[in-house]
Amino acid sequence: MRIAIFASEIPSTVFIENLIKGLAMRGHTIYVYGKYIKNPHYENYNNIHTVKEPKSKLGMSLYALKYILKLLINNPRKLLWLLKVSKAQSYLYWVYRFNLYASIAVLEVDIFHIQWVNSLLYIDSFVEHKIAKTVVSFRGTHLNSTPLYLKACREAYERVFPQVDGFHGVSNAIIEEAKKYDIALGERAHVAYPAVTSSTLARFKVTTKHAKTEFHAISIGRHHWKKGYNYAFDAVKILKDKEIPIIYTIVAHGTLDEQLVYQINELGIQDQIKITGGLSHDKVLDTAQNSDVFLLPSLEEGVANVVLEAMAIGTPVVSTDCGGMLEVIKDGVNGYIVKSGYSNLLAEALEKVYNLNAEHRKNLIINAHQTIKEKHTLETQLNEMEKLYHKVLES
Amino acid sequence: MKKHIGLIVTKPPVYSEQFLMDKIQGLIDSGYTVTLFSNAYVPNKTPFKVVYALSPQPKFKVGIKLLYYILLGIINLNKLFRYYNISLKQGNSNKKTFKYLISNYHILISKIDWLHFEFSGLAYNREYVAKAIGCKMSLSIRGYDIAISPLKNDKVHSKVWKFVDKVHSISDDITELAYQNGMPNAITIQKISPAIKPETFPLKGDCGTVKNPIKLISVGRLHWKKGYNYILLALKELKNQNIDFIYSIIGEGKAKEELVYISNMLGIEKQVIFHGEVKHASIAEHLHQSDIFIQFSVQEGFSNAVLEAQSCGLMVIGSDAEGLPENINNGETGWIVGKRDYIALSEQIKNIAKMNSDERKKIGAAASERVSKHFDLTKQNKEFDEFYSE
Repeated sequence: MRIAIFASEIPSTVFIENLIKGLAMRGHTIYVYGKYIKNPHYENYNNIHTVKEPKSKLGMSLYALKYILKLLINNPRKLLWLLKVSKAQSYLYWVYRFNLYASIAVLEVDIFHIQWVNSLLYIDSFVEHKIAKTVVSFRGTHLNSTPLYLKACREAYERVFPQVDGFHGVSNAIIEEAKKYDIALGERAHVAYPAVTSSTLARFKVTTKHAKTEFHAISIGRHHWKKGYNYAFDAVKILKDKEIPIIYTIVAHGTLDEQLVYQINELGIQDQIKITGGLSHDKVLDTAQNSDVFLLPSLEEGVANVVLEAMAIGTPVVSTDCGGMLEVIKDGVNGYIVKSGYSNLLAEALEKVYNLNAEHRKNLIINAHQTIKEKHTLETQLNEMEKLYHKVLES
Repeated sequence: MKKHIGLIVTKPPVYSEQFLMDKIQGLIDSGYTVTLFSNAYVPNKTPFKVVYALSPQPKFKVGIKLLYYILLGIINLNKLFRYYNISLKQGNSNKKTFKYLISNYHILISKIDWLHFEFSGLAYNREYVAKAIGCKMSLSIRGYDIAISPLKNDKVHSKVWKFVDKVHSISDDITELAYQNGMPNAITIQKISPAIKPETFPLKGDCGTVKNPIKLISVGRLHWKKGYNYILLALKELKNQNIDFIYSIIGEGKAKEELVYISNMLGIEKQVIFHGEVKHASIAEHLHQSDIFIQFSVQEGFSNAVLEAQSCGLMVIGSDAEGLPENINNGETGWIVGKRDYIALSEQIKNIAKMNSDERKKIGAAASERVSKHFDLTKQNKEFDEFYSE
């Protein structure tokens, strides 16, 4: 298959990069579209091609000229059509769309896979004029949150979704959520759960509680309201008052919000909270493996990769039920899961992990690892993605 | 001839900062000359005289202004020298001294008798300006600047205090925070409570009624410190207990995305209405259509919105953050609930709904009366007149 991956940046996030390389290994030809940030290291794959977005106005214009000349000779009618359907309010926007549409048309790709659903806001006419068969991924915020408060986004989704050939959801929950904007999209949608790499799975060990005098909890993820760290802090306060020796570490880039600084100070939990940042992925996993519990206090997620990784390497997990987390965690079996937005429930679940006996803790860890091995390997993910692509091609 | 007061503001006030508009108008009415100094450029948005720093202005204006500023600089050369000397004496490097001499240039070249910082944080890196000009220096502490800013930069206040002649605080709790942040006992501090025009927020006709569904309302920008996320959890409790309500939020802000999301997450999105920003003149109308006003801040200096709601005779619930217990007389003009305790908030809403309407009417009337007695703008204007008259 010839698949165009439309990500906003090259390289994109870890999971999109894994998808690109995985599809290439299975013999598909991949075209990666986006702004070039740094070397994505596709050297070992001769079937991955990057199509870089020109950075300057002049670059964009020259790029367009190239396609115009090419098409003028080969297919002038198509050229006229592409110029028409890519037309936009401003010159630059028009050139941007023309370059994308013409490139896809010239390359004759089978599937155009849009990684971030909000891209539909500016390339809607691509889908509406069916330049190629389109697959759109639902990964999280852009579907769960943005359309709730941005009317323009809501309207675009309602208008464009019915024209999309296939949808990839990271969970059943997110596909249900998407039905708000196109009630009939269920038939065109398919779940491919996020995955962890085999090297992460290989790090697995059954960890025991690390210290008697301290109880280490850890969260990983940037500072953003949707991560719900304020609820975690309220939970830490509850545990502190119960004299549970909790130490809570957040691993994140950037500085702590003033809201959280204020809250730490006000609740008097300065000694319980540690903030670290700038660690390599490898170091992050080490830190997680050296913690007694992994905490996901989020309000909004697709399916949190960090939770899957924690489960893969053997750290017990306490998570909120946001996004698709209920499809991963069975409460008390392979982790603990509580309602989003309630610090008292987070505290209760953390206390449960604190009080686990060695046997129960071991079972929980093994079950969690098993879940990941069964449902969240790159193999499974690629299988499901290929199923979706085939379904779209046959439609 | 009354004094010329220079007010340092973050940006020229617009209608959402009614308290500042009111204060300035009051000073002008008392006969003062008032000039605002702003480092953020917002043209033609304010009825008052504003002097801008050079840097934020549009380029074509800077060209003309520059000449004028240089001329004034020559006339006021002594002040600039004085600034330079004081700054060096305080141990600042030449480079730093020069940098802040430039950024405070527009203040240094003006003829004022009194320099007042509307938020204490604004005095940071402007500590010596008043001394260089040879005028009095004072500042207002209002909440955020003394409760939150010091956590991010603890130097903000320690360097400022020794140059301050007088401090204006808006509540006793805020004064207490200032002492905790190193304010010396020697500084004269005057509490001037925020105030409103009670006549623009008249007692509502149906004071004491609570409708079904219960009409709840909050007025204030959508900012984390206002504690809206805890209010939404309280409303979810009501919903779980089949108590019907409609909650209106008036205000805009950064936290909107989060709050809209949480309303949806809790399944109360149909009962929570985000009105956005509303002209100050029509806030009374919104209040009159509501039964219970909620201000569940995590941090709050005093809150004019709470005064306005009490003036209208609403049933008002506040958190126990800083100035709110001083603003609301617990049990007499409204109720105080522990901050972040959303269960207690939902209980309080239920209790109010259960009270008989005569009881509620009594509270509403008492609240309205207390506001017009103690928090009337004319009283505040007199107090500010006193503040600057020494």
